[in-house]
Amino acid sequence: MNIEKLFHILNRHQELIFYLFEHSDRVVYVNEIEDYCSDTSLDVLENFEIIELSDDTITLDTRVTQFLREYIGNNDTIEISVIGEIIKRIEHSLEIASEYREKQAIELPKIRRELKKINAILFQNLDKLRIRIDRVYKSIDTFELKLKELHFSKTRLDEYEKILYAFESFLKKNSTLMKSFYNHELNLLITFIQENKIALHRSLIPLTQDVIEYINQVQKQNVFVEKILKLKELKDNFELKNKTDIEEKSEMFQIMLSPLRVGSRLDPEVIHTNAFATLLHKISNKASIKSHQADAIEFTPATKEGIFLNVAQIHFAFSSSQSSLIEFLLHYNQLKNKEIDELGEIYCKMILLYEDEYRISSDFFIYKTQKFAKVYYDNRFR
Amino acid sequence: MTIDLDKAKVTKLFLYLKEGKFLSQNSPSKSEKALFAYLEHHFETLHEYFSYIDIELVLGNGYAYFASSENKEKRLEQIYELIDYLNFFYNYSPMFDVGFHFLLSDIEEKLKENLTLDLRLKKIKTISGDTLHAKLRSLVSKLEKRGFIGCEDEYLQSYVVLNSFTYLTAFYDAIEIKE
Repeated sequence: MNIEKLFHILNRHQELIFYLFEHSDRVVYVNEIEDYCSDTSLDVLENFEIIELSDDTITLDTRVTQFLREYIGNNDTIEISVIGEIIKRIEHSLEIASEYREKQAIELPKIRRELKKINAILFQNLDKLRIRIDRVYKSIDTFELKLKELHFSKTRLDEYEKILYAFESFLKKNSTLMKSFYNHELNLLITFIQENKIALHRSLIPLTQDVIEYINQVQKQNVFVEKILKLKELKDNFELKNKTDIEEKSEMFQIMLSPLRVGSRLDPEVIHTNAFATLLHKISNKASIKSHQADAIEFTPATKEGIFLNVAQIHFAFSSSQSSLIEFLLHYNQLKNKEIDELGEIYCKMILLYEDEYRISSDFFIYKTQKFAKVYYDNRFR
Repeated sequence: MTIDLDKAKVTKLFLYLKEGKFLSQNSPSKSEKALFAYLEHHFETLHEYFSYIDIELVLGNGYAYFASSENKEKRLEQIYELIDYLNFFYNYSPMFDVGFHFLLSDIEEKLKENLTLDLRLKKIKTISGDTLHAKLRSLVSKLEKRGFIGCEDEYLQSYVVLNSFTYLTAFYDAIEIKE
């Protein structure tokens, strides 16, 4: 068959070929394509091995389908084993070219073509592998299938790596021979392929890491989902507290459950100045939240106690108390033996911070000649 | 120290975090992303700044929040609630994790096909709504309010799981089940 005739036939039956290619994922019956060509044309196409006919079905020849897929780039099949075959063909051509000088004119272009082919296959398949791995990880939503597909991709990556090494050792073994032909184009191509090989290795390493990482993540996720399902089951059976350490671990759960209320009569303009930050710093220090270096202060029991003082904690404890703030502070364990001035500062600080949640009454509490307004936790927030 | 801080940004950050919401790096909102970048860049200073008013700013892996140790009962309640939510979403898709995208309409479709999923949603007591759609919205808005998921498109009602979700997975992962 000559090329002219082939193009003529393809051109004459382009609608049929297009239809068959578009429907290559299902069985096409002969009666479907009656409008596109006659019985005689079908015979011609079959003789030229462009289509295959069997009983009442029709398909494009696999070579045509493959060519079209390759050409428009939607062939997602990973085919790297073919490289082994090409290497054998190149080795054969090299043997002929080295033994029969007169054959070099035919064999050297053949070798160049085959080398280019290997280069293209390596690049195309690495891209396909990358796309495949990403698609598997992102689109499959069942663990078992996803894991199987990822393991399969890993196997393909390993095969790819082996073939890349085989190609490398072939080049290493034969580069002197190939250079001995003094063919400029061939030498340029070898240099080009050597550079590409480095790029392929660079891409292969992170891709292998990715697939391993994906496999680990899927396995980990699977274990975690199982755990949540088990926790749910225990929760429904009221066994969560007994059969897990959830109560103990709940200490680690430090999400703010209700919005933070910070009330203040201070002008917001003042709050955002550096002066206010300094002021807060001073108040904090006086309220015994010490930030000095350990070696700069004398460790008396009172100092140690002060370090752990937490106003928010006092506030939460106060929120469940019925007594007034100053009375509460006087009886609060961590504040026992504190000077009244210091208690006064904490008293003022708490009112400043939690003003919205407190109710200031008109009654007073007198302690050691000092007069404090009775402040209660507002019941609306309980 | 505080001299380097931008007043408007700190205010914005405070108002955002004080609601008990997580701020994530992969938030679909550009302003939240920018706010996170600011927080990450000035974390040391901001941490010290907030510590003056007894607020602990925590920076996790791609997320930040104000830590609080409120009363134990409330905390346990929230932990129990979240088990129901996670259980529902893992039944919808076991791949529900950081970066996972979903459409509300997709879940609704699955609810129609999958009776178990439908039952799981109906059994969650802490969400409101009379219809399945309303219940689903309530559930999603609970996670959104906490900053575990972010709305990508209000019209399409598409959402993405945010970095803060790792806080939950790490917490539940640490719980030991006694055999």
